[in-house]
Amino acid sequence: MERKNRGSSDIHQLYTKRKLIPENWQSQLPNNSSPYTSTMVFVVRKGNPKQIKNWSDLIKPDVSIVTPNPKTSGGARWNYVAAWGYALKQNGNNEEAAKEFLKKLFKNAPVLDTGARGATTTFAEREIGDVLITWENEAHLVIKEFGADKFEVVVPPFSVLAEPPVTVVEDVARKHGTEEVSSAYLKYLYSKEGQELIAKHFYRPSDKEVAVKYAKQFPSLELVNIQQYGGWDEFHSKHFADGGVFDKIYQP
Amino acid sequence: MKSHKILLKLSFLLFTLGSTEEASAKTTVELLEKKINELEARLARYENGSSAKEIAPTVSLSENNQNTDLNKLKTKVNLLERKIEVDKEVYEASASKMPKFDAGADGFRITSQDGRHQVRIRGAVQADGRFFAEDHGGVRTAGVNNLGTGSVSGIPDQFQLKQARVWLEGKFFDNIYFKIMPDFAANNILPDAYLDYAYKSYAGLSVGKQKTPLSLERLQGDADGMFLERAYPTYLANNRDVGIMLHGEFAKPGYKAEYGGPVDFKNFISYQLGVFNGAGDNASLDKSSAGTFDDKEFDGRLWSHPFQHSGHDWLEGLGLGVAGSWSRPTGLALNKLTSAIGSNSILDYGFTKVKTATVKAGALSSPSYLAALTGEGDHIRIYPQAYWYAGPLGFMGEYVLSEQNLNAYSPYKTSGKAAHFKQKNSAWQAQLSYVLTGEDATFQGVKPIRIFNPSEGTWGALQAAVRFSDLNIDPDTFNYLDPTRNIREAKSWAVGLNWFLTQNAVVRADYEETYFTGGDGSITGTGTNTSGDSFKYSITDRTTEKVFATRFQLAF
Repeated sequence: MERKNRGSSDIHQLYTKRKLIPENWQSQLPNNSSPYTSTMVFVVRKGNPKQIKNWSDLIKPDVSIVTPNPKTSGGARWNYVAAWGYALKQNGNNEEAAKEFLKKLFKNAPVLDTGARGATTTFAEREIGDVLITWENEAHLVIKEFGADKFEVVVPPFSVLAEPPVTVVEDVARKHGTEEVSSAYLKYLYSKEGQELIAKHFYRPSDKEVAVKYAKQFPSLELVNIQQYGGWDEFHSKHFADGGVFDKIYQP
Repeated sequence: MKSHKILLKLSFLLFTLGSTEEASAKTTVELLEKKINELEARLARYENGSSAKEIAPTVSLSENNQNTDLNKLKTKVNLLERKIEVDKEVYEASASKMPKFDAGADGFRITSQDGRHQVRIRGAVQADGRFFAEDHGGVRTAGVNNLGTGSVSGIPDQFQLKQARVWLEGKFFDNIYFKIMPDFAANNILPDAYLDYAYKSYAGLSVGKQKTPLSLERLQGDADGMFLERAYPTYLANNRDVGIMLHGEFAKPGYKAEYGGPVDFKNFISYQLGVFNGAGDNASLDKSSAGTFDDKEFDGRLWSHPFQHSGHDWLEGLGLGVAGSWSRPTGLALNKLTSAIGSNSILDYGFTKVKTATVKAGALSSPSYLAALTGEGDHIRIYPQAYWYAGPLGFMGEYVLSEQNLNAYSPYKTSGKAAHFKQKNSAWQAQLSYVLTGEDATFQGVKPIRIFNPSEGTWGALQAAVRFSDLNIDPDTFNYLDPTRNIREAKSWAVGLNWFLTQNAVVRADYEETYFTGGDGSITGTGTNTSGDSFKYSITDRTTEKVFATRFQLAF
């Protein structure tokens, strides 16, 4: 199975543009070089006054959502993929219907921040919006930082599988004399100790034993993979390039 | 209190939105302002002690409705504030990628945000006037001072557009520099066009048409010299040439070298090693000219500021160096040499002796000249050179010894038979300057402390300069060249005043006298001996050239 460029177009560019890493970089470490996974979830205000449970709730006329701009934010692109996958699934893979869904979704976004951290600020500090779509770990950080008395996390039954990959850029590491410590660090991410740390910080560990131990923290849900849509390169050029789908559906 | 906070936020919002000129936002603010005014009126009534009952009849909103309105208002204000913040972030992010535009005394500059790429637009105009004294007036051919005994013809006074240059220079990817400089006032319209890959400060490679690293005064910027025209040593070097040059700069230990261009005058030590087509003395190949022979010219130069960062202020500006060249041309056409500021021809390798047969026939009224001399064989030059700048005082001097092998046609032998001889020429110059208004003199000119502005009582900077220069032509040359039309030696002295209105605009005024040995006279002999020099030339010294010249120059 083609596994290239599964989790990050950013890292893969190191190969495609400068050949700084080998073509098979993603097969050099376990789990496609992804020591953990994550997904996109919702943060709502305490009591979930708008009763937001699934993506379909986000396009209701009285719901205000907060998500960053997918043209500038990596996290926002994952949000977008999750919503796109949900809409396709609900509409029998009808892309026009999916576009209409996303159009309604972004119509409910009063402001598009440039990044995930800014979106959290908008939602949590400026008290704008009914729901924040964000990384699962970021959602838990919101609760931790701003208080469980103000917000709660809603894990929708459907979202996207993010597999943040890691690799050592050997030429650069060699130049800096950090080749050994860089490799050791990546290996540590896969160790039991590393996986525990990962889970404690609300990333989903790849180690099965650690995953079982923290199962309560990470509800199971249906996850769509970016590979189902041709990988990041294809998805990006179709949706986020100038004149792409996003430019057509979103009117500020 | 809530109302006060919201009011403050709105005030901020109004101010900010006013600057963004977003019509839609203004409309929203106007609506909000209306609501705020209503709420403010209510608050004022409360603060004045009116009871709820008293005011109740005048208010249309219930307390609950009021809170709801306030919450909505707060959300809207928060949203607008956040939108402005996000817009600002987006603007700053996009602005951070925009190139920087800069316009100033150094010209116009476009620089990429990361500073790695830059293009500069620069220019220079030099408008001259040259006025010759004691030359009997007249309308003789411009550029030729070959006044004959008894001749009453003079050298025409003239206005001249010496330079009209607009050029691009800059860099790409940090260290690939370039310069493309056309000159619309010159016949050879592309003086400079080169790329310079300054890979490391100690090793860069410049390729294209550029100044050859020989004469110190030639290497000085065209707009930076102290006199209108350069002195004689410059004329025994190439003007510009096409080729490739390795160069590098070294800083004093503990300091960092900075890029100084293909020929550096900034660092502790610098060197240049170049291979060029070999244009010959005082020559600049046309932009499309290729070399005319396989053997190329090799040039090298070593330069140092030995007292840079020494702590001895008065010696910091001392520069010492030596340059040299070797070439082996074949059939190289030789450029004529001229007087310095007068710019009149004083040695023309095309002015050869007349053919013996012509003399025999006594047909001097329409003499037939032998073919022009050409460069043929080894040509070696050596240029010791120095400058010294200390405060307002400036000095520059250099000497050149040039030995070149030439082909000529002997007037004493069978017509068309070539002769070969080695010509040893030499020249030197020394110039001293002082900035009367106290600014520092530098190799790159003078920057006035106070620019010319009569209404403010400031007059720019004034520099006075004096120069002595001498050119010696090998006497053997006159076995082949017409000694009545070419000089053997030229000695010049010049004084100059440079008035720097700004660092860009300069008014120059020079006076120069040039004394010639030989170069004037007539053929008087009618000998018939074809193996000796029985011809008799009545050779006198060419009339002293006295020229007063002015220039208005703008360079940026």
